Amino acid sequence: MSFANFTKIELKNLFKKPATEKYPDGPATYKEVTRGHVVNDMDVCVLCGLCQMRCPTGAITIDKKKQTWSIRPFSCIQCRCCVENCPKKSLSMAKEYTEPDVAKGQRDFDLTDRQKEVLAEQARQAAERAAQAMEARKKAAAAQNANTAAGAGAAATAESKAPAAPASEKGQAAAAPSEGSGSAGDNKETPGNRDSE
Amino acid sequence: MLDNLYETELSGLLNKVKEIQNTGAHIMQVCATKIGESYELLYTFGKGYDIKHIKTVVSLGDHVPSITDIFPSAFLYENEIHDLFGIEIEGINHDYRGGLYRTAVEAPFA
Amino acid sequence: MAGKRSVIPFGPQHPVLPEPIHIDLVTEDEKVVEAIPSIGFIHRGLESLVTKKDFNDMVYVAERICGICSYGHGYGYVDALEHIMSIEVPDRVQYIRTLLFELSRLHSHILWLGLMADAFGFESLFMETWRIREKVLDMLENATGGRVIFSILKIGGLRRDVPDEVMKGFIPELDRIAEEIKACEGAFLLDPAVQSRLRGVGYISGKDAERLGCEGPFLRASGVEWDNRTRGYAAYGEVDFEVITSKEGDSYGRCEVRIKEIYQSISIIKQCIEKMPAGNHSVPVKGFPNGEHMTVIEQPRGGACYYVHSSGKKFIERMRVRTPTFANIPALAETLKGCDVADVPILVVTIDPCISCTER
Repeated sequence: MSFANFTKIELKNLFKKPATEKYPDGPATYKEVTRGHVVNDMDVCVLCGLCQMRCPTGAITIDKKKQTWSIRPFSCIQCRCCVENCPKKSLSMAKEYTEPDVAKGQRDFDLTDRQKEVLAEQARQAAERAAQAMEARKKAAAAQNANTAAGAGAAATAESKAPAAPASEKGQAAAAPSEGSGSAGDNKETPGNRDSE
Repeated sequence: MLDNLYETELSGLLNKVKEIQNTGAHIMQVCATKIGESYELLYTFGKGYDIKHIKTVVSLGDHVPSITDIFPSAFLYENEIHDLFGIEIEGINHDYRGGLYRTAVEAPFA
Repeated sequence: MAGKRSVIPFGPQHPVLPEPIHIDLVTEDEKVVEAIPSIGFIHRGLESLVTKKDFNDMVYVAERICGICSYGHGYGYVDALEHIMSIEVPDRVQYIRTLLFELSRLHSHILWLGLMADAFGFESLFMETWRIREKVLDMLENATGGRVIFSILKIGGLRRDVPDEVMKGFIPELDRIAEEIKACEGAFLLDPAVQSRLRGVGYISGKDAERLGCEGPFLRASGVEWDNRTRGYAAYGEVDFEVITSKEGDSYGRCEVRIKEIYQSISIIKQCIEKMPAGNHSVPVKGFPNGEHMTVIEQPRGGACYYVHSSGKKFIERMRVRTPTFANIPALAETLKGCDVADVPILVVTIDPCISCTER
């Protein structure tokens, strides 16, 4: 009885088409969310280095001098960690699995020329801003010097130097924020891109 | 934190294990943890869905008595602790003498 | 007069074993009188890696302890850390985790059925069951993006949400799988030739099984009601299921328990999909873990313990994984005593050995 049970399945299977796919002859099928391999859109990448920092296996390396983004496909475990942490959304997960290879190698990707220009432009702007910030700081310092000089001059003869101290503190405090905002803007626009200058 | 945790000296270990065995529990696991220079041995027993732990602190030269007289199926755990942490355990019923995990470097590794 | 004793080595390479375990069989004529197991062929030192890896990155390592129980290992590690750090994950996360857990149990049990069919020499049944398993893998891929390693768990929730439509789509697929398993079930449980290979082979009484610390279907096949899912971790407290046992205690009983658990898993998955609450898929995690915790969960192969000890630093001091196979090996050596040499492969398969898990 139960013999007949499985015989039925076997007979059905005889006349069905195979359950497997003839892969090299036909296209491979992937699901919508399959984690195949990591691709980087070199038009968008800013070489910030977050993916390199977050990769659990250290498969990604970034060379800021040469402006390349490299991945070692044999080390990549398709965990999608870099994709989740990419601030510019330039990394994405392609559906196709990593292509087979004969040697464990590293694949380098250059930034596109357009993106190189964009980054250079941003770096130039950042440098300009930094220069402006420096200028502002110098000005503030000069103003502070003048203040102290004036303060000191006013109280020069009779009083001690005590009133001069708060004034100089005030001057430093005024200079400090401009420095802080300058460097923060720097970081935001071209994260870690000072090397390329 | 672990529930039902009993901490005991090494000398009182077997008595405590015997006590737990008398309640009809079975062994769930034994493991060692390196804390600084000493090692914590954690014995876990289960009865029904209740879990009990015994913790004892040993150092590297100590001779730890085997509990395989009480729970014969604990031999794999004790051999594992010997091979991976270098703690001497005396009187295991199936002693592999360092042959359970044949590591390239003898334990203790660090 | 006792016969002459001889020792037959079994493994580490054997057609029935996907992974290396070595057993020295002391035989007298055709009967095994003693079996001495030895492992240690694929020890990779993954537990000690925890002291060198960021505790968030360690989830990936935990998932890679083994291919089949991958999800369970990830879950155990994440759950232990969430207890230590007192993180309350949203309900939706609990339900999705339960669903994925049951899907992985489903594929593990169907895989085991195939291996079992292969062990007793029923090749076409083996292929049929693995064809069914392929559908489960497709569902997992649809939900998580991976077929074997899901990489969906993280401390504090899930790394991506599984859309409701995708999960709704599972229901007709699950019905089809249940139908196909039903068709194969007769071959395992009613076929006289198969029964002659399974019945009475490797009997162990419930009392002995419990004393030796057995786990999972191996224990339940001996009539002991012990299933860690009734502890109610994840969303198991909110779904209906009964502990499945068998009175047989032999290889046939283990087969029966696993087949029934396949239907049970399907029912749990459906309940999860029906009750799926809306909500976030993760909560933020702050700080470093400080403390120790032991999580006990029910893997497809049996109960597994995950012990994590950390002291408020970036690196955890100890992660310990006690896998079900580790607990079942002493009992396996016990049941091997008195069986025929020809039955040894079947008996080894009935504990569903997963040596990669065992050695970590």
